[in-house]
Amino acid sequence: MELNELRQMWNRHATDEPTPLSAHSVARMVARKSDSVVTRLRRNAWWEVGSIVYVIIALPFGIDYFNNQFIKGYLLTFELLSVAFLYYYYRKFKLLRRMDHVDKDVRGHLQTLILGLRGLLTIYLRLSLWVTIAAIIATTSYRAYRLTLKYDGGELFWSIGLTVIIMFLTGTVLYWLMIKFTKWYLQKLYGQHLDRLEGYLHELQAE
Amino acid sequence: MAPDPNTAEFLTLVNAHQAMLRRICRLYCADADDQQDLFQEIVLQLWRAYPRYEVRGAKISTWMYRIGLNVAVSDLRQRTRKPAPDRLNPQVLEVAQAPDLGTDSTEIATLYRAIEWLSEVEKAFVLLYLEEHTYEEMADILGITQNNVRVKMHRIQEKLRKIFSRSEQWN
Repeated sequence: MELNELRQMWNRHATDEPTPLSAHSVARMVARKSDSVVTRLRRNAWWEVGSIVYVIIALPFGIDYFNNQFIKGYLLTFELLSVAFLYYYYRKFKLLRRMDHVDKDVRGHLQTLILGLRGLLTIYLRLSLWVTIAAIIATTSYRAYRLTLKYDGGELFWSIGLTVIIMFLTGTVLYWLMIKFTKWYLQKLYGQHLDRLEGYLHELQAE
Repeated sequence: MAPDPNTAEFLTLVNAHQAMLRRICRLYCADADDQQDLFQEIVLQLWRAYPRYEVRGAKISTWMYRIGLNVAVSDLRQRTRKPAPDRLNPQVLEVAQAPDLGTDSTEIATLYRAIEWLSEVEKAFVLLYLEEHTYEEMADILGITQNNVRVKMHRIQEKLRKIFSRSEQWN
């Protein structure tokens, strides 16, 4: 069958006009929550922001509760880190806002979605990186402080040196595991969708 | 963003293009509930994008096709319910088994069933072609060159020919 015949077939049936929508039904449609992937990502991001805000509010109580200066410092590090996370979420929302514009041409829209999803992956990976680095620095500092109470002179120097090496190696392994886990989690979360969108874009662009 | 388009104007716009929007939904979703979900999502996205329409200056139907197709192509739901086939397989013969709803209904149902075997991207090409768009308009909506549209349409025609010839062999 030729495309022209299909078009004729299509036109024979395209003339049926559906019942006009009432103002009420259109109002209901525009008032509903969107099911789009971007809306769902934004909803998840708000939950994550909620959890971080909760941590930001709760940590000062912990800082006040503990007497140990280094536990206080440890918690303060995470308090500052949590505040810094809000910047990442600001960037995430900015990306999501860009992905929300569906009035581009199909290729442009697919490109925006793909770039946006890739951007979100980068943001998550950076968050993992900073959490790991902060945890390692805080833990190393805490252990070094404990060592200053036990040793002095050359013994202290070697103990701290050894601690730094152990923490560095532990941090490297921990970071590798964090990245592995984050990538696996993100692939589960967005991977399938991203792969499909990339497939569509490739198909659309290929000549 | 809180859109504040003139409601009556938007209602008129949606009603004037409702049939076209329904055809997009029918083409991308076989299931009636999915079609309604997709239609509502398209109307919602049109509403959100409407305040930006004036600035863009594109033809209103072109703008609506863009949004309709963008929502349909990038939508996750129908893919999870019904994965798109990546190649022709024996099930393609179901094309010939459209429900007997009278001559016209069977004809269009057969066409829809054939189109179901195309990829989501190919469906967009076919829809725009069937809706009497020129290659220039198709290129504008899809964001590719006219030459690419021509090449793709040629391949799609071959694919549809195979689908229909197999369904005829089955008959």
